[in-house]
Amino acid sequence: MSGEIEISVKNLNLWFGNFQALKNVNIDIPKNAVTALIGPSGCGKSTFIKTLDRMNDLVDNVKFTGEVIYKGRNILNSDTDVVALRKEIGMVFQKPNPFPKSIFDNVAYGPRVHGIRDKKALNEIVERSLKGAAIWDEVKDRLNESALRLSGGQQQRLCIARLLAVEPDVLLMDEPASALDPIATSKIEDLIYELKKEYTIIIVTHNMQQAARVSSHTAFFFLGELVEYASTIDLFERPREKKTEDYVTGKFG
Amino acid sequence: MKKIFPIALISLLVAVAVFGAGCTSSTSGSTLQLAGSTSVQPDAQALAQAYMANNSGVTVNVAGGGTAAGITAVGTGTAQIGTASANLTASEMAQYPNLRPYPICVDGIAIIVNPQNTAVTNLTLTQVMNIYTGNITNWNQVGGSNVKINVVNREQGSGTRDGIQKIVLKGGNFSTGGITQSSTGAVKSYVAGDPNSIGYIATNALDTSVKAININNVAPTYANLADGTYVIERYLLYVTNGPPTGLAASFLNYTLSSAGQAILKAQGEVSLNDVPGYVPPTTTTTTTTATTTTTATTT
Amino acid sequence: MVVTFNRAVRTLRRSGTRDAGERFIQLILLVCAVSSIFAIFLIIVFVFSQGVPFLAEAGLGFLTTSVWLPADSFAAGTWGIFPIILGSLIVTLGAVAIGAPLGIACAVFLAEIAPPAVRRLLVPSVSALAGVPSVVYGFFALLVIVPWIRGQFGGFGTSILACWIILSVMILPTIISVSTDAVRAVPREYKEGSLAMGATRWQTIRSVLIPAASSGIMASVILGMGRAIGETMAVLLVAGNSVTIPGSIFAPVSTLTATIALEMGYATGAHQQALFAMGVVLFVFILILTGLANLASRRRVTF
Repeated sequence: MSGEIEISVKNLNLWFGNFQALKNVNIDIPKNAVTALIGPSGCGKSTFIKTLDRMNDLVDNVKFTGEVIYKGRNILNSDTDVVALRKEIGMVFQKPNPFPKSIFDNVAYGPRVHGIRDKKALNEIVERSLKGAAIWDEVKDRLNESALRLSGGQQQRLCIARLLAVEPDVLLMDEPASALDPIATSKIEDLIYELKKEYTIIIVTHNMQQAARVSSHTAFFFLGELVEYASTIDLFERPREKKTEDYVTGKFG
Repeated sequence: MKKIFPIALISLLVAVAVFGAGCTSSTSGSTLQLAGSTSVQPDAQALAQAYMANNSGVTVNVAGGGTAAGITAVGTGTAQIGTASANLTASEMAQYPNLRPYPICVDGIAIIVNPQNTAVTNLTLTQVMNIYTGNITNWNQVGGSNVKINVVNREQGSGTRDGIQKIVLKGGNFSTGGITQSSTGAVKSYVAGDPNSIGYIATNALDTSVKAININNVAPTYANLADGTYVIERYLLYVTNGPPTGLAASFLNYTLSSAGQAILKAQGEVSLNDVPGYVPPTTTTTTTTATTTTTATTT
Repeated sequence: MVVTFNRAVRTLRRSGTRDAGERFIQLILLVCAVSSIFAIFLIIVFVFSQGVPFLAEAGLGFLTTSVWLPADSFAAGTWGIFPIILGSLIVTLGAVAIGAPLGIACAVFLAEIAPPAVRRLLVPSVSALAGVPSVVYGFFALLVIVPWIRGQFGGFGTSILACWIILSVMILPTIISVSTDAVRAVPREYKEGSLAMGATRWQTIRSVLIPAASSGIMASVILGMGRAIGETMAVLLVAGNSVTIPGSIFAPVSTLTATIALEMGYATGAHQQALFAMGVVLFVFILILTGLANLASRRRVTF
């Protein structure tokens, strides 16, 4: 594995009650690159990225062991400042979830909760974030309209802009295009391609073509285990494991 | 919101059922319906029980509702006998000109204070009047300690309130400074809890939780009520629409008989037989002359 | 062919009886709906027919003057219910001002913060609170709250404050249950979106959950207000029922509902009509509240 490592996961196990959702996962996520997580439904890939920003904490009866090293610290430690962590590792969800507020207020939400009140500073952040998410031109004349009036694809890019406004280092994307039509999907994919220059991106996807298009590395999860992790080209064209081959050639899943 | 529909339907059905039941029972020949003053209600209930025990097959229902409700009930024929703790008003007589009142006993009204109020044991009638009209507001004006008097009233239309207004206030108006409690029991429990309060209840409701005040140095004892030296007293009445007939006449006669009067005495009322010089009215004449003034009639 | 035809006929017949059953059920539901509307209509017509003529005759002075001396054995009536209207408003608004923040806070706690075990304990408790008869609340207040106020602040104890305390507790179940539903109905995604951006739980509740649930919360508050203004028995016991403009929150007060309940048993003639006219006033109040509630719950969720 070449390049700098952003997140290093060691021996990660995770249980929901008695059900073990992740089994001894070891993976190094490269910095400023797109890593795709693929696998059939229920394989643990969503659970895995929700571990990286501790969103699994919202689930009752969750417990985990192992290490997730980010910036030299194990973020699974109980003394981790979860709020600060989520500011650095942001998440985009499967279903676009803009708040029922105006477009401007959606993007300004993060900076505001982090204490920025100055109107001029907020204006700048909103503009920069919307531009960063490639949606500025579409919404610049209607920033005070409700975000819920945007199309699904626009809403998802708005959610990405909302995330960029808090200036994270890592973007977790949980099937960000699965609810979108092909044109909106390709816009999101173009955006991801742009964003990887500045951000480390981990994307969960069901769509193997999408994984092949946007990512440099791909991890295949099955039944809570990380079966294979390699460069995207290797994983799709020269899988080492039989299961991976079956999956990427469409024999199951 | 949707839950309201079945509830409304059920209440409608219940209302119809109750209404229907009410109709059938009042037309039955062996049922006598009384309604009215809550002061008379326990007396009338005791009388009704004894009367029913002596006359099998007869049902006597005693409802409350207040004096005015009793007058309306007897005026409109819902009840055969209305019970009253105040004389008929001019407007009532104008509305139902055939109403006839029959005194059944004497009932005193006690002026009560909290037992902790040991300084005040006697008030003149004028002092009580001034307290209730708001001219006296501090207990030290009537020999008590220097605290504000908390005046407790009954609600508009209560027979007991009417009695106080007539006998003590001579028809004047109550001060609006006091509070209003909705029943004898509520007045008693308020006064029992507030050392600075004053209230009034029927003498037959007196107990140790409150202290009865002497009026003009006369205590509200049975003898003093009977001979009239305790002045805050009134007749309790049965009211019929026209001369009583049938069951109503029989029940009235039973109430005025020595057996009936003994029951009333046991209830804490003063028997008419113990009132010196009282001449019972015959059942064919009325004791009160109907006035024809219409000053306060309905519009 | 014949077999197919017979089968079709059978199917038709079966569906025919099913249709009849459907129609029967629909008819019953229609009768239920109509009868409830009819009952409401009857009540409205009755109250207005009794009250409006009096209102017309007594005029605006009925609402704006302050001496309430209904016709009695001694004098013709003087009709002024301004202190009673004022009393109803003060008592209702105060109870809501105390009860609403408490109820909303409790709802947020139940919907968002309480661990399941605590929730299992609290939810039935809130329901039980709603099931307590109002006369029991009133009696409790008369024996506990009223003497406490009398001891602490002097005066009668039966007072505006006593009404506020007991009414604010009585409207809690309404506010809590409706608000809890409103907060829980906020899409999970809003909460996740906020938390995933590094907002704290409190920031998420304040800036996303409560605003997103605001129409439901508003509706709950107005329902609570309706309950407060309509409450009779508990108020009757602790208000003191004095028809004067109260000088402080420790002074006795009278409300529309309590006055009607107190005097209706005795009232005849003009007095009775005056009480019905008070009913009309109360009805108008409640109509306004219901209108506001509908407006609030229909409002688009934007903020």
